[in-house]
Amino acid sequence: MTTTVHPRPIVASPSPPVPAARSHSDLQVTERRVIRSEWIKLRSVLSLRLGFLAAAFIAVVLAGIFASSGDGGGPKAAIDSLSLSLAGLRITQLIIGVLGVVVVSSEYSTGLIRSTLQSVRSRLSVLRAKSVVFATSTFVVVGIAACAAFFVGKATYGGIQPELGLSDPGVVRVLVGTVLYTVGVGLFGVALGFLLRGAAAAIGVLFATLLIVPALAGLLPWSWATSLTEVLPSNAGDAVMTLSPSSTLLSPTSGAIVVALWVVGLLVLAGVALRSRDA
Amino acid sequence: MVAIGRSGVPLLRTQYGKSLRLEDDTATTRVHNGLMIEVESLSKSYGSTIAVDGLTFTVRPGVVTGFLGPNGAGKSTTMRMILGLDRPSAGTATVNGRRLCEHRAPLAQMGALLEAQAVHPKRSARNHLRALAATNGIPDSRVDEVIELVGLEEVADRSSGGFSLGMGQRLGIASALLGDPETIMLDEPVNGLDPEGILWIRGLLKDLASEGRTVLVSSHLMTEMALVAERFVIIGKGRLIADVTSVELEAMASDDSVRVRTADATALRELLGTDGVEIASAVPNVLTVRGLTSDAIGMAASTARIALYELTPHQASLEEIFMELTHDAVQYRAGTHQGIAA
Repeated sequence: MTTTVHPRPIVASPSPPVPAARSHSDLQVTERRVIRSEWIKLRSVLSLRLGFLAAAFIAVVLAGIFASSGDGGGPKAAIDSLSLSLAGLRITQLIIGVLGVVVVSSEYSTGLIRSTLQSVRSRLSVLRAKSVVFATSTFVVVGIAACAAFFVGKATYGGIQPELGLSDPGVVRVLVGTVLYTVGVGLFGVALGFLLRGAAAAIGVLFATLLIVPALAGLLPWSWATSLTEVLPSNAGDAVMTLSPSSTLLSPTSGAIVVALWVVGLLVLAGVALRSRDA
Repeated sequence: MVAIGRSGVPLLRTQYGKSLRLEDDTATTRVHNGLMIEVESLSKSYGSTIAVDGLTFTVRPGVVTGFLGPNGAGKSTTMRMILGLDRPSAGTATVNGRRLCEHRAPLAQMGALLEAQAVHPKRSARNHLRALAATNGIPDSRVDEVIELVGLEEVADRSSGGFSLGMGQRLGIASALLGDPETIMLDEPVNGLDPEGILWIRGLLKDLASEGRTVLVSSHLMTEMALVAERFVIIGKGRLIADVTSVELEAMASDDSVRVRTADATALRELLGTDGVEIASAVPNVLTVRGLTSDAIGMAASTARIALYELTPHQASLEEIFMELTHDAVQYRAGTHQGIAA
């Protein structure tokens, strides 16, 4: 082991301070201003706008394709007209999830996050603002897309099952539930972006959780695995998005609560990570 | 507020007492001696690696302060802690009297440039600046002002992904100036700039300081810093080596020597060779004398009737003094191929 001798630092006499007077009386960070900042960021990147557009477009186009030429036989016979119209939103949800990741991970990959964090008073205000802006944008875009998909599906439907209208029981709940679940997936993406920072890791975890884990969980031999499977985010989401959930799914209300708990839980974890880690 | 100083003696930090904090909260008038960056016993370690080790210094307004140290000395880590991006392992770093995030409008207190082009490549420079400005309630008119100030009017509405290094650096400086801040901190701002850009930054830094702002600029190049900075904070291996003015730094040279070319080197050597005088000779008839002034050598030679052809005092440049000060703190040095020391 070596010992190091540290020389005493050489410190000069202080020079007299020079007065400065600039008025910044009207400048102040507020929650609304941070939200405004995140809104500017979201709308000022073309690829994000195109991403939202693609997410909406695909839902409507697929509704038209799936609902038409539905003439019994095949697996389509067992699917109600509402599910057929909204099936395209499965893809919308994945796109929204990816966009949620990207609005955060792109700040880390460019270093912008450091400019963002040093301009605000609380790091959590950035997480809140990003979540609010992304959730609101998703709600509006996917809300319009889901309604359009529903009516396009209705217009082109030619199946053997009875055609469902807005006044049929559960239809409005499924429509609203599908939109809110999509908002939830977007917020998963935002939270994973803050937790993992890198787009590849966050998107990987998001897709694995939504697509692969539910399929694998069903293979578990233990009896309690059934209840575990029920509370996975995608299965809880299915309970909200299905007209008459099967016995392997939660009730719509429980499903909604479970999805909400997942979203809030992940956002809290993201907040803890954002506050405690070096940026 | 009482803190324990380096020597273990409690330091009474009266200038930032409670009453001043309250005043700053409510009034727009400022306490002049509060406008500075204060780093107090600041440390940061990553696992067993110590990046910053008990650093204490103060950066005052009105002059450009150069923040110098070899690569890996801890300059960027210190700057990130001042900005509140990294959490110190110990100690505090305050801007104008308090931690940066405790100010009502951080951008009005501190403008910083850490890395060039911390911008989404698909976002225009103007929208990038608008988004940052929005958090503190800075109006869009100020965004247009800083764009003009750094000379990016022509390209402000293009995506910043196509910017050259110099344009990216100007955009970074524009974002640092958004809040018309009291304190400006730039990390290696001239890196990769063309000569015109370097000249522009030098002028800008001096102007900002002359307006009474606190300006801290990091660099690992003393030659660059010597042209703009009047004060120097020099660190090595995370520790403070010197916190001095340029005049004081020049006075610290231990290597002042005089070069003498003479007709009779042997005689002159005998004449000057007393205690405390060191004489070296690499070239025939040329002596390098340490420990005597050129006046003394000239006078002695004249008295002894030895002809001198050249008598040149050599004062160490700031660069040489800097190299000498940080010699022990250099992390990576070109090897001398003497094998690996145990």
